[in-house]
Amino acid sequence: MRFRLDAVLATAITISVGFITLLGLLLTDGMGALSALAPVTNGIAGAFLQLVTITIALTLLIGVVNLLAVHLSRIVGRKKGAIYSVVLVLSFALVIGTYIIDRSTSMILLETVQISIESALAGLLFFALVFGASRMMRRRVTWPGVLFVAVLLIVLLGALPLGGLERVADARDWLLSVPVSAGARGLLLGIALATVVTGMRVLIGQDRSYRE
Amino acid sequence: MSDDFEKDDLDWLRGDDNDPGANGEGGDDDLPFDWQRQGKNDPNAPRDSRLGVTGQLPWLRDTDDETDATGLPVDNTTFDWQTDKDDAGQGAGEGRRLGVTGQLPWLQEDDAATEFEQTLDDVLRDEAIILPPSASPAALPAASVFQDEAADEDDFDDLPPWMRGMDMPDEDESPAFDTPETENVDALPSWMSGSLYADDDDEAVEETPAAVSGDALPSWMSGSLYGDEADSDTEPEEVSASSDADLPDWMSGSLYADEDEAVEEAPTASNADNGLPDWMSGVTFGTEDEEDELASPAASTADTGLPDWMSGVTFGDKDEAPAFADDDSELDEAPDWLRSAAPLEAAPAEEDEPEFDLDALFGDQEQPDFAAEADPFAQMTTDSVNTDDDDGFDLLGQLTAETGNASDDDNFDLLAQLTADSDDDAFAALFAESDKGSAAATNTDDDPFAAIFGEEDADDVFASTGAPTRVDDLFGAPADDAPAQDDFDFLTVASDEPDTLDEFDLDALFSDADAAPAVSAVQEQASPDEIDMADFLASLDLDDEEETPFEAPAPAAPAPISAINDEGDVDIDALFGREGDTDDLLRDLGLAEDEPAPAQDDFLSWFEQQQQPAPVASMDDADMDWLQDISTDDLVAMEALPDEAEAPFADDDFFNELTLEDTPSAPVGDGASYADVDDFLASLGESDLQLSEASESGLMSPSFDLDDLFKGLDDVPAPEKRTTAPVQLAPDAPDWLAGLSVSVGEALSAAAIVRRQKDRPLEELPERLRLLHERGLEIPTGAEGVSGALAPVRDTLPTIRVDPSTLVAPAAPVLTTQQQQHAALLQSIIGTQGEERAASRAARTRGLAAFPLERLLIALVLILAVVLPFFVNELRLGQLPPAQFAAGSQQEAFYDQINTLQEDDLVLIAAEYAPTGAAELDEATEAVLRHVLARGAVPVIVGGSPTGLLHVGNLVDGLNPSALIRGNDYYIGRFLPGDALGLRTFAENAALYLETDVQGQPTGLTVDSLDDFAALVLIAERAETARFWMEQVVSRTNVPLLTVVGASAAPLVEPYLSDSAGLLIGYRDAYTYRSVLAATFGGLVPLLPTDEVTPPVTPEITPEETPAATPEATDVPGVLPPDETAQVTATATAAATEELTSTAVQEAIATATEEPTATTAATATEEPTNTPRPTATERPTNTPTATPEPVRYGIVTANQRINVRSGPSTGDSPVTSLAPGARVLIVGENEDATWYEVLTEEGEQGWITATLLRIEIGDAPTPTRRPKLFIPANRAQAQSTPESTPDEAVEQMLELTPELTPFLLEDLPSVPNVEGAAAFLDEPDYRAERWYGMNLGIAAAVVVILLGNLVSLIAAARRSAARRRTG
Repeated sequence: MRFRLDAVLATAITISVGFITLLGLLLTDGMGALSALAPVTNGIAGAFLQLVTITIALTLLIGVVNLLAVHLSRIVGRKKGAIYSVVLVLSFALVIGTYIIDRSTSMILLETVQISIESALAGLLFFALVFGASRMMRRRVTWPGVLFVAVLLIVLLGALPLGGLERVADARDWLLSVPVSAGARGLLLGIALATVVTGMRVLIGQDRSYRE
Repeated sequence: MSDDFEKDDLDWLRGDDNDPGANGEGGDDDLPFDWQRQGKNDPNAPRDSRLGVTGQLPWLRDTDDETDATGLPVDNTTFDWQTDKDDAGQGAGEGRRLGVTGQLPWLQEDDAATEFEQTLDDVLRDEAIILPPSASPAALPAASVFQDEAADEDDFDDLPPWMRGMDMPDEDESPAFDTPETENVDALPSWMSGSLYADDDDEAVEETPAAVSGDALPSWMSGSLYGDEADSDTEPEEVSASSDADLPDWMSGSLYADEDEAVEEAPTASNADNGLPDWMSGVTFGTEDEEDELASPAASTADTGLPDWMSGVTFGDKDEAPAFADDDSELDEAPDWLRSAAPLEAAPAEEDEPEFDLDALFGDQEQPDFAAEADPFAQMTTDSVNTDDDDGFDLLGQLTAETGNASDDDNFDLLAQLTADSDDDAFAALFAESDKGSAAATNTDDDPFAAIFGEEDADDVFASTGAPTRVDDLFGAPADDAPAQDDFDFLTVASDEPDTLDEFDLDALFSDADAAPAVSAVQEQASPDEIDMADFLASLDLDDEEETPFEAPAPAAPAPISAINDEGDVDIDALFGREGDTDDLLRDLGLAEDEPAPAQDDFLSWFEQQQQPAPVASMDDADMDWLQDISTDDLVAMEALPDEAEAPFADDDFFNELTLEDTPSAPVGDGASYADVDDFLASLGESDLQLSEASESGLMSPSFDLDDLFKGLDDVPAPEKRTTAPVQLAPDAPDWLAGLSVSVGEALSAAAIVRRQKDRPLEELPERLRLLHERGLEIPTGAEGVSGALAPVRDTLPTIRVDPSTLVAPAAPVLTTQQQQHAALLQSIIGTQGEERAASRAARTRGLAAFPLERLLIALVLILAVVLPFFVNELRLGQLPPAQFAAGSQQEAFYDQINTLQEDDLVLIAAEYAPTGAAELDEATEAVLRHVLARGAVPVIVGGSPTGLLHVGNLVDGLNPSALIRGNDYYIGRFLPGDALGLRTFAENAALYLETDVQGQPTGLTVDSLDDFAALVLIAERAETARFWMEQVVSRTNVPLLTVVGASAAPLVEPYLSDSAGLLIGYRDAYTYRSVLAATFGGLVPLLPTDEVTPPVTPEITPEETPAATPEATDVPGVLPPDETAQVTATATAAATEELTSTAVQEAIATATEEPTATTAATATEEPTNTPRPTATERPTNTPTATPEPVRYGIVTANQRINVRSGPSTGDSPVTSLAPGARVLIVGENEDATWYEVLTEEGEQGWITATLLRIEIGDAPTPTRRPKLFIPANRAQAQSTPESTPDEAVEQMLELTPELTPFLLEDLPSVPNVEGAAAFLDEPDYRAERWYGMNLGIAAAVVVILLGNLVSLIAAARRSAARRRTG
């Protein structure tokens, strides 16, 4: 069997860091003789975690730079839709400039533009969802579709503060507390199990997605 | 020999020595053709019995040359591919013997008495080859030939450098003869002997190379020794390292073609090696490594030196790179031996451009047995075919096109195969050297290809070509006239200048061990104007009419070979000679019509038929190679084709009628058109290729005779006699219909792929194909006058005849059941009905799209539902949220938890929501922040959402910009990147993260850990974010968690929370929280008024002429004795009440109390509750009469912690404990002053014995912070008095001081009851309208969704009913 040095090195580093981090997270002061190692492992693990955090934060900066590069290239190349790129770049420059000059002005932009737009988009979601739900069975009628629509209507009606809909409200509460909660817990359990499995695969070198 | 050809003339091809020729000529003609037969195997046989390559191939002799009585050429020059042409003449007169057959020194140097050598000597002698006196075969210097050849350096200039080196072995060294262990080894140079062991067992493989490769073996050949060693990891690397210098560049990488491991490295080296000829790029890349295999082609593709004609071929580019470009000029760049194939395409191009297609040789079929793996050869052939339908086939393209194939062991590499183990490699058997006694390298029993080109069956190969004559007839003079040393040389045969050509040794070409030199020899010998191997293959090309597949010659038809001379010899020139026209040959052979046929696909088709019975039965799966793929694929696919072609759809008959029966049969060979060659192939039924059972089952058996395989060909009926004509399509037939004629189902074949590629623009086709296409359009369809989709249908609708005289509408035509079925089927196939419906639907869709009425209506309804409640009270649907939380609910727990906050408590608030969640969560966020600030706590806001963090910061800033100071009253912490991991880091390094705020300014917060916070308020929009906080932060601290989430995230968050955990969900809870908060604002009191802060002016509330209420509270002690405080309060409130003229307050009072009555009597007599903090009745108000007094402090003098007890005795229970040195405020003492009543810094009040304290007198502590407003700690108490008297309400109002911030004042009129909440809602914040809008919007959404789905259900039910009605 032939080994590639880069692959072996990457795998070794990953496994080593994983184990050290795991030790740092597991070792505590109340573990007898191992407690002596706790400060060291905890420190190393903390350093690793901070490195990851810094790296992730750096990706944000890289993303901004890349975004600007892409749109600037579109502008320079006069590609289709370059006008939107112009808007983006100008907005970016405006926000940065105003933030440097006067933060309050920058906040005005944030409140009046960014937050307003995002809120408006969220509001539009209401129309889209309702329209989609109304056409749920337009193309095909299925039992799951019928069930989905029925539950949707119960939940919505149960949220209405109307007299005479107590039974519907009770049904809504039951739906949210039993099936929905059960599903949510199942999801969380699945996430936890998947996380453990993935972690183990990484630790034993089976999962080497970092090489991709 | 007669010119008449008889069927029995082929009998000699059967290889039966005892079977005399049927023509009675017997003698030499009866002997089997054995071009590989070695004299040593039959030394006693008559000389004349030696036929074939080693003996009597007379055609090698230039038939134009004058021959003597013995048949020898006049110049006595025997064939020698190593002989320079110019030298031939010189040597001729001297009787110089050249050629591999006799003089290859390494074949004779050692052990001259061996049988082989003796036999060879006999041959030479018998054939009157005169050796120079000093050069007997045995004594011939090892390098004599090469030295002779080297005399002319010009010739060697054509050789690659690495070939020159091998031409000049030092005689003394004679490496070729250093390993006389076996006969084979004797006969081979030592450096080649290793290859002999490549087929042996593992031991030989391991040992031999080490023995021979050290000195004699050329380093670049070393790799061949390990060609089949898959488990050798290190040796290839070593070889590679040692051979880098010597190995010709273009050979690099080929050495490891068969090695699974070495392949990983070799391509890289090869790619990087610029010495690799461009045209060979890709040939050597036979890797299966999932990483490197992709890299290698990429590198090769990037090689700009790749000739155009090779581009794409190497990597199977279907669309862009024909194997052989139509442009002949491009072929100039090809290597000679490949370029030689140009005439195959170029020459026929003069006559409609027939092309040579190796598809014809190996078929274009499927290999279901190996369906699990992609068929490399199918892919290869596909590439060739797909280039354009009948583009020429590129051998190298085929060889290399499979580099990307996924099969493990079948990466075919020509060069690798040349050096590989022939036991396992069928192709290697092609080059097996049986002549040199190294037959061990050839296992014809296991090798189908060897069976074709092998020892005994080589004749069959030629027979299989359909040659109607004997090989002797075909290739030259009778055996008895042929010089014994003649070698089979198809290169020479096809030469344009046979009189000047040197002889070529087929051994060299087909030599296993000597493969690479052989190829080089091919390259060298076959000059551009010569025909080489490809020509030979082309010679097998029995071309025929354009668009006409193979027409089997009548078995008894005499061969009209004009080239056959009187002696029965075939005039090679006439066959392959100066005219160089294979069509002439074909015409001579009777295999072609007078008119030359350009359709090479026909040749392909024909040859597929010949190859159809390619053996598969005994094929070893482990020996997957290209040939295996060929045979198996093609065989099975060919067998499958007819059936599937006849049954493209369920209704076979219908389509037969549709395409066949109504259409005049287009006889094959008379210009009938096919959609493509595949159609023709499909048209060939099994009846065309009936093979004997032995052919099908025992093809791979050792005893199988290829004669049996092909003998059935005579019975193949002529295509024109077919009763079932192939599918004929109208030129304007839809494309999809063309594909109906042939279908191979799921099998992936080149033909299937071609059929799928119907969308190739006509403009992209080569000119030749375009012309072909145009010609096809001109061919009558047989359905003239009938157009439309029903044209080919036999039973078209009867014409309705109308009698104009009667003027009576005729009856509707009555369709028979069959007609109806046909019509329905046709409509379903061509999509007529579907198209109509689709068109109608599309029209409607377009109309709707232009005016999306449905969407507009829905949007309008929803908008109105949300907006109208703001203006129309009648549309305010439902009830407002409750003014109070339910007892014991999570919402109440939330409020209570906030309500327990103390002054300066740090509260961590995680603002994890973006503006998209602002509408839902802003209300709750604002309420919580107000509450926290009112409690005097300090919010520290952090978040992982940049916009969310800024948004909440702005929200706090907007509460009271003039009263709240960022960095003092609240903090906007840092952005927390990294999601879960970032949160965990924050949890572990909270102190670090909180050193600076979001602007990078120092916060001054002294936080060691999250435990220093009094509470953690998580405001999350998404469940995932909440989960991150729960798992990464909350789990690492004991801080009480309070959660605010949107309604959508609640179900996923609730599982993390206990029933007692604080939780607010959505706008509803936020509304209630706000109501509760407003109701309790009435109990707000400043705990620690400061003289440092001048409260903002509140003109609406500030009473006129209220000196008692002026904000001049200075030097007010933080804590005063209750009695004094009560007195001061009474005064202040009385003064304030008298002068209270605020309209707002009055209105508030009016709404809060039915009979608002201002009273001058302060009746606030509430006792301190569960908190030691001064209550409303105890607090020092901001009255000018509140003068500071000296206070007494107690310092704990004990050296250990002491208890603070509930009473002035040790029998009282401890309240708390104090550390040594702790400072407490003395608030009282017992009668004998032995116990002090103290107030700790934590607010605990109790008794401490005087002996443990040291009393100090000092000023009251000056607060460093501005006054804080505190809600009465016991909210229950405030809420428990809904029936409070108007006096109490007024008193609460009076407690408000001018320094109260506006954001608190706006909540002033709240009283803990529903009416108070209603009053709150009257404020112009439109919170109630929002609520009503939400409700009506939900109701509208319910209606829309319900109606929409009801309509859908009804429509579905109607459709279902309609279907049931229609059956």
